[in-house]
Amino acid sequence: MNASATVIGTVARKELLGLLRDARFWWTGGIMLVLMLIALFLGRQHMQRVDSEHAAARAVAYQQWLDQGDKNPHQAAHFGQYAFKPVSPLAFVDPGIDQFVGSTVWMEAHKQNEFNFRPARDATSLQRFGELTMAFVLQILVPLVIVLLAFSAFTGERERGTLRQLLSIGVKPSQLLVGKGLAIIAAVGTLLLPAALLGFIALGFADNQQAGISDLFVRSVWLVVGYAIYLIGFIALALAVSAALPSSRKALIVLLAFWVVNGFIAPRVMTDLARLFCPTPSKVEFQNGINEARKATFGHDETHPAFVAFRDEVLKQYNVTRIEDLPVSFRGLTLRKDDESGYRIYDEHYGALWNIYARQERLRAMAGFAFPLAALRPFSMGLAGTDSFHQNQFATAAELYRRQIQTAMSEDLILHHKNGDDRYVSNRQLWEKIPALEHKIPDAGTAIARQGLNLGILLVWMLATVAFAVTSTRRLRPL
Amino acid sequence: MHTTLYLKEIFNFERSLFRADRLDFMVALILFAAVGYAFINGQSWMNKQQQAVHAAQTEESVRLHELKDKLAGIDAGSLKPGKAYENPANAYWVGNRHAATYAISPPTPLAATAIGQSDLNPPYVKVSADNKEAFALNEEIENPGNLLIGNFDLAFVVVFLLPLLIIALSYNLLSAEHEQGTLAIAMTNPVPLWLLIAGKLGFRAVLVFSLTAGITIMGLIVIDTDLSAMDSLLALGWWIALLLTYILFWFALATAVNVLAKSSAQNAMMLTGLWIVILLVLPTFISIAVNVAYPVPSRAAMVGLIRAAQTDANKEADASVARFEQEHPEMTAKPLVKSDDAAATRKRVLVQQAASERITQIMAGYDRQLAQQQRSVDTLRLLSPAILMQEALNAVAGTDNSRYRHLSRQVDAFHRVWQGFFLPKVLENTPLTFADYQRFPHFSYVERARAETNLRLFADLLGLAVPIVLLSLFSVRRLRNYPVTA
Repeated sequence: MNASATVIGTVARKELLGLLRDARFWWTGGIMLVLMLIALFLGRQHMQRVDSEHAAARAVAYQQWLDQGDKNPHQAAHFGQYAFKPVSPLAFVDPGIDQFVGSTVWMEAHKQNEFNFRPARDATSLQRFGELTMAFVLQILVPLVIVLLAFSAFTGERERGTLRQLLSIGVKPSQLLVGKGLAIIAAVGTLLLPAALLGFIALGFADNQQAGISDLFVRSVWLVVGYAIYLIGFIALALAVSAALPSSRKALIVLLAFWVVNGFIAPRVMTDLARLFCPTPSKVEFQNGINEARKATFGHDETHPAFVAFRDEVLKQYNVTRIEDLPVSFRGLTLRKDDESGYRIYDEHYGALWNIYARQERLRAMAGFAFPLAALRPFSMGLAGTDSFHQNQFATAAELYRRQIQTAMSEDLILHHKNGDDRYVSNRQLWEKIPALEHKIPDAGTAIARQGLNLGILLVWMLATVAFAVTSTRRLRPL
Repeated sequence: MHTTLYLKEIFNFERSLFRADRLDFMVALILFAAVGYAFINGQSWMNKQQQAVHAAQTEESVRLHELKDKLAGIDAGSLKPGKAYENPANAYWVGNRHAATYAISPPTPLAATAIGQSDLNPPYVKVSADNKEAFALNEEIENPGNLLIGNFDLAFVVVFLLPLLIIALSYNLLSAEHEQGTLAIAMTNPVPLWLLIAGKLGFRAVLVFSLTAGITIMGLIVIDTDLSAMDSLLALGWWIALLLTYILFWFALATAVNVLAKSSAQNAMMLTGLWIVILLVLPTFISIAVNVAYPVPSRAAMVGLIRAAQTDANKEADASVARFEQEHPEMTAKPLVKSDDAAATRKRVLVQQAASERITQIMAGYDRQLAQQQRSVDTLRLLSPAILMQEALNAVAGTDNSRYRHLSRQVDAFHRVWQGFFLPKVLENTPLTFADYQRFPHFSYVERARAETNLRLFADLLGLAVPIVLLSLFSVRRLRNYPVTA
């Protein structure tokens, strides 16, 4: 055991020394490091800019709500408020879907609106080539560096004739594998360490209104774990291919092909398949569905059978025959009643839409068993708080806030408005009863629990590559 | 004089080599699978969009029918007009909501070849008599994760994957011969080295180009593209020309790397590196540069500004009404459809108009900034053949941002016509009649001037040709010193 450790240590040291003396390592490593630092810097800057823009807009919107002047509470409900999507404090690592999801929603009376203003629509078409982010570097570029560092690990030894010598002096293939693996892990780790440290330091300066610092820390640690599994899997795969194939050239080509499929082809193909199997409805279809369902509710239509039924029910409940005799505002009651029937419809339709998204995501992740980026990307966005789940959490919070406004406005009518009085107005005191919308991102535990499947897929893939590496080194042919 | 003969000989020889390795079959298979799949995908995306358009049109005609039925009922006396909002004779609510009409841009003949920006820019805009902000920026529903990842369309195959295939076919063009020692033997023939390379390259380029172009044309025929129309032939011509130039660019790049006389593995690494730089790094860096030079103004701030304009107009509402009544005594004296409704809707229009100019200006400011940004991309695209190619293919397919802006400008013009039809009627308090319903304005899309697109695509071709020439010059110079023997 001890002897084995010594052998592994020797192999690893020699390998690491070889890597460090190779100009290629310093070149690719240096470029990678620079790119990561740029990505971190730009990511943080962008995040802060958007965050401050949204914070400013939020303050303006709330002030506009307070300053709207005296008016009928239901008019105030129609005036409504705007909600601006908060930026996750970890968005500088992985901005996820932020560019492709609406940033603003109008919370008005009677309806739950969709988010508007996808930043990507205001960007040029260059956006579609991708963004230079820490996630991009780690998901796409670092695996390429690994491929370049490891493709000739065994084939190179064989081509130089040193593999035969090594095996002849009693070095076991498994020791070679572990030694080389450790050396590459150390080399890649050295490259990533500065960026990771900076990332954690930046975390300390994070705006902690949305999430506690310890929560962010837990999320970050899990991010590190996820990326470590992904990259170790790549190292194992590169070593396995290098051991299994006859020449460096072939190993390189196979590994590059895998890298291309993993990074560029599989994600798109899976997206298309996801669309095919669970199609997203068009806006018109979605709206039609809601409009159709809303026909059962009365809105402002006083001839609607549901309205008549409700009126009769209220009159009966208060034991009067005329609306004028009701002790409470009938208009307030109808508004509240109509809103409540609307909520169920919106919950159902948005729930169905988000379910389609979730099914698409799950389908996409299945490719992760073979091409791990399919599982890593959602994992990374999920922990960075920039995936659909976090978006929908905010959308839900905004909708609940909208309902809070509706209820408060209708209840003010119910209590204070006299039936038949068209001039009833409320004032700032009522508007102030609605506190500004505050949103906290879900706690780390929830985010991690939701990524369990993806993490499992990543782990299975990683273990499979390790098994592949072990079996192919066992069958290693010295010549 | 012997050049063509030699070239033919090299071609034949390469062909036999490819045959022996079944490489030609592999290349054909890969291209067939990729292009075929891209076609299926592009076509199904187009169908989906057309279904959405169709659903929109159906929804509109159902809505209009209901309105007309209601109006007929009121005219016949069988139906009592309810509130203003439900009254089909009320020009305000009909123009602003009930009769809102879809402005649609039809797909171009080659739309299925590049999904481009069409997943962000819906092909239909629901125009109403309300101010522009109420409808102009509406978006289609889509899973943001899908938008993030992008689509596997023909443009993706050409821009991203074809270069990889070219790299795989040519990274060891010379180095392999060199490493096997066959180069020295080949050079004992009276064939100059450049000719050998030209022959090898030419064969590969012809193979890749003819297969890609052939499968694409097949694909277009299979999906029923009308190739008899002048427009579609022209678009196809541009597409083929762009494809050829782009393929030549990548072969020129591969040659330039080959003549550096490194090992096959080093060539493969260098070419992969260049692929990453051209397709991933340069576009992101240019994107960053453009964002720094012309930062996108915050839409969040815009929302606040527009709302302030609306609120101010609302606060001035009574003054606006008073001014209007003073200036137009003839309109206020008219008998009203229903007095309380008329006063309320007139007030709404006056408020809307008061806010309108400010809102138009705010939004125009954003458009200007975005246009500046796009202009700088138009210049900087020359730095990366990949950007150039992607934009050009989008332009040929009509799924580029510029065609969407072309639609937006027409929508703006149509919006004014639409408002001009309804709003005066609101202010005059004239009810809509059945005859008015037949006269509602209709949007019809006018395609971009062909010359404009042609000029741009010509510039794109030139932009691709320049690096080809430079790389070829470099290769020819380096070739003189190429070490034939190890």
